[in-house]
Amino acid sequence: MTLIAVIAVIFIVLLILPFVVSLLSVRKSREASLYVKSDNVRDPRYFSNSFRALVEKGLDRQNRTVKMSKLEPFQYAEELAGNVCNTLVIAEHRFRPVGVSSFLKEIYAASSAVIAPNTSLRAIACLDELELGENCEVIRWADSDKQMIVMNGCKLGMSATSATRLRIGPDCTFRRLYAPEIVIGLHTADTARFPVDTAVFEERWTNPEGVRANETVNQTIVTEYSLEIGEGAVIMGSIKSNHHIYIHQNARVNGNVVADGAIILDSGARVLGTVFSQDSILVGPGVEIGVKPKIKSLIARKSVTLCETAKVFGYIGCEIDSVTISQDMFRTELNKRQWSSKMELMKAEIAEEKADVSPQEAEPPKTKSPAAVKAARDGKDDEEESLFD
Amino acid sequence: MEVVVTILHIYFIFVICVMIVYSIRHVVFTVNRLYGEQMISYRDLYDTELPTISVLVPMHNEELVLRYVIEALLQCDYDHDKLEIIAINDHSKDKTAQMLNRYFAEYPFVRPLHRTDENTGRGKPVALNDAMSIAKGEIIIVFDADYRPSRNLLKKIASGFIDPQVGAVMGRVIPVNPHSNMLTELLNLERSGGYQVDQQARYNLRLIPQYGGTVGGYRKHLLTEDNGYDPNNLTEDTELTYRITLKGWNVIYDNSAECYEESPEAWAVRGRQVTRWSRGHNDVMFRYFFSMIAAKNMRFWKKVDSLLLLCIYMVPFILGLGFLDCIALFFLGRMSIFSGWWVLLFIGMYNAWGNFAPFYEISAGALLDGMHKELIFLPMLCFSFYFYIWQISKGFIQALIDNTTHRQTRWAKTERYANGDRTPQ
Repeated sequence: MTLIAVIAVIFIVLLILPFVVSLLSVRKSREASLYVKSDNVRDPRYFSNSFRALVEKGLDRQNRTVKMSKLEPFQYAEELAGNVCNTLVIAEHRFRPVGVSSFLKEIYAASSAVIAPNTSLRAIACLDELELGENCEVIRWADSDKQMIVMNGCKLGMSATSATRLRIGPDCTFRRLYAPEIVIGLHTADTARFPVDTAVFEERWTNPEGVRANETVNQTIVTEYSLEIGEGAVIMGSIKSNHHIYIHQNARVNGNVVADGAIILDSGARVLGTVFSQDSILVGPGVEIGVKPKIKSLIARKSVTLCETAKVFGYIGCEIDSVTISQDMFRTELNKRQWSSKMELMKAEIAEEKADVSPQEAEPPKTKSPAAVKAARDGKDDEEESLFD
Repeated sequence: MEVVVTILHIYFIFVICVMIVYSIRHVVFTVNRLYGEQMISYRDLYDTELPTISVLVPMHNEELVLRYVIEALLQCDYDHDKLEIIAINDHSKDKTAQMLNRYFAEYPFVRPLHRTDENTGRGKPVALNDAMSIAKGEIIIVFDADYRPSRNLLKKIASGFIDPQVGAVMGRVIPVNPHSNMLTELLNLERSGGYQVDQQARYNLRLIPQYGGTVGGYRKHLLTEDNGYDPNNLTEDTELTYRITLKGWNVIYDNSAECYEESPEAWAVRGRQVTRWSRGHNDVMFRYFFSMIAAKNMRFWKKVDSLLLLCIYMVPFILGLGFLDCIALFFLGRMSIFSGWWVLLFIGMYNAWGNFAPFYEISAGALLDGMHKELIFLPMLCFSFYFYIWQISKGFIQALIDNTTHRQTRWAKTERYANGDRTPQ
């Protein structure tokens, strides 16, 4: 009987205890409002801008310290000695360190900077032009106000950003890149292509089988299946697929390209809007994403592979370390299992979809030649006209 | 009598089946959120060609809180050339109109819409319809008057529309007064589970995250080409979710698009709010249930989950009747405790894990949000659970009467508590 009573008491105590603890916690925890930093604004050059602001505001030349989250000692670039530098570096003149292979703290370069090959640096903010030599490693970020040139084989840490242009050689790895013009390849020409007709039509064409080569579609395509855009085709709208998208050579999309699967942009393809994938993106040679001076984005949940001579006007972001490759490696990359398996899946899906759709259900697209479209809008007769200036 | 007992037994089994289905659903969501592949939202993109937006803020006697939402919107980093703010003064009797006129005098893109004609009807759906008829933006974003958007919220919501299949974007609501009393602590936990786990999992699994009617946006033409909101529906947000889904558009969720709200601090206020939600949601359920079953071109699991979501405000009523069913069986002597040990074991295990598995979602949400101390309040959810059964069942019955008698609904506003201390710090 006593045992039963003891068990009963223990049971009741354990049953009530969580409620008592909760009630006592409420009485203790009357606080003011939740603290929220609600003035957050996204800035692609956030790391550099906040670092520069701290340095410019908190520099104490007399004591040789900078007030960051704590007081950080610094040294001037002219005082560098030894193989490893473990203090913050302030370079007031052209910065070209010799003999230092590792910078463990940030670098503030008020003028241009040239980093020797095989150097490791934590982060660098450069107020002029910046050049990273071959096989440099940036642990956190690199930023420049003017052109940044990144030689072959560099690792670009969390982000590499520039206020003007970013030129990156092959075999570099990255996570986030930002510049009004990102050029892959150290010898990629600066020629600009401005399409004449940039209209984006929003009327939807749902679940098409694909777009044939050299066809022009004056609609936005939305499909549950994988989609291929034929060589030289022009989509005067956006594209959304719940699977993969393959845009063949020299095709153009005036709007955005969004896919739940992978996106492959073959040589010379052009997307005037943003490219977004919940999988990976492969960008072939000569591909251009965006139009100067607008800022567009190329974003993948997994990786982005950028081929030499491609250009992106704006922002590139991915969750897995991504890579630049040389032009002659594009076809090899395309044949890799990661991409070939997706292409096989895509072709199988498209074939299955074609078998399912009856001739009556398959809607033809609204197509016209670009010249006819322009003429219709301008009220003129059809004229022969090039797509680009 | 045997017939009655048989019916009671059948209903009992039915309740258990419903509980199992929803338990599985919530456990799947929790596991997906914790261990599955997470879809990224569109918040990371940079684009200098975001769409034009009209921000609508319905207000009825909001002199206490309106300056917070207007000031917060003015601080947003959206290009003012592409932004207009339409503050809808809906038959206010306090100083709302005067305060809005002062803002308009200083900021021309803050346009008050004064609805004073009693013949035009009151309520959020009617007010939004009027505002949409004058809105110039391609995208409509709606905030309640007591909400406080963060600076980059408009860009995050607008970014979602680069996807041509997106019809609506939903952000996340976070209580700004979580520690005021036990009720606000519990609401904080519920919000965390609901958004951080439930909504995000539905987005990950390509199901239907729910558009919540505030802290979210939608393409204006989707409503204007369809006569706008239904003025008789109390949950115009749920109705919008299903309407656009049936048209082949997606609703997406952005977990980082945060906006801050004031939770109710009195149980009576919370009860009225939940009853209204239940009434409106069940009204949508009656209207759209068979349409969703018949919908073409929708993935199977998306359709299944859409039906489960539609019925979610009916489940507490089913469960409440289930409790009564158990009591009846017990007093009829037909709920034998010892011979039916497996049933007792099942019920005991089910309750130990947490009814509807909300404990899974809520505890996972609290952990992901870093709210480790708040987990201490989890046991108190037992009491709010019974409170909600009662309030939600009332709403379900009201919706049933509304649909069978075609009764008109009257809009009632949730009370505010704001004072100068309630701005997020």
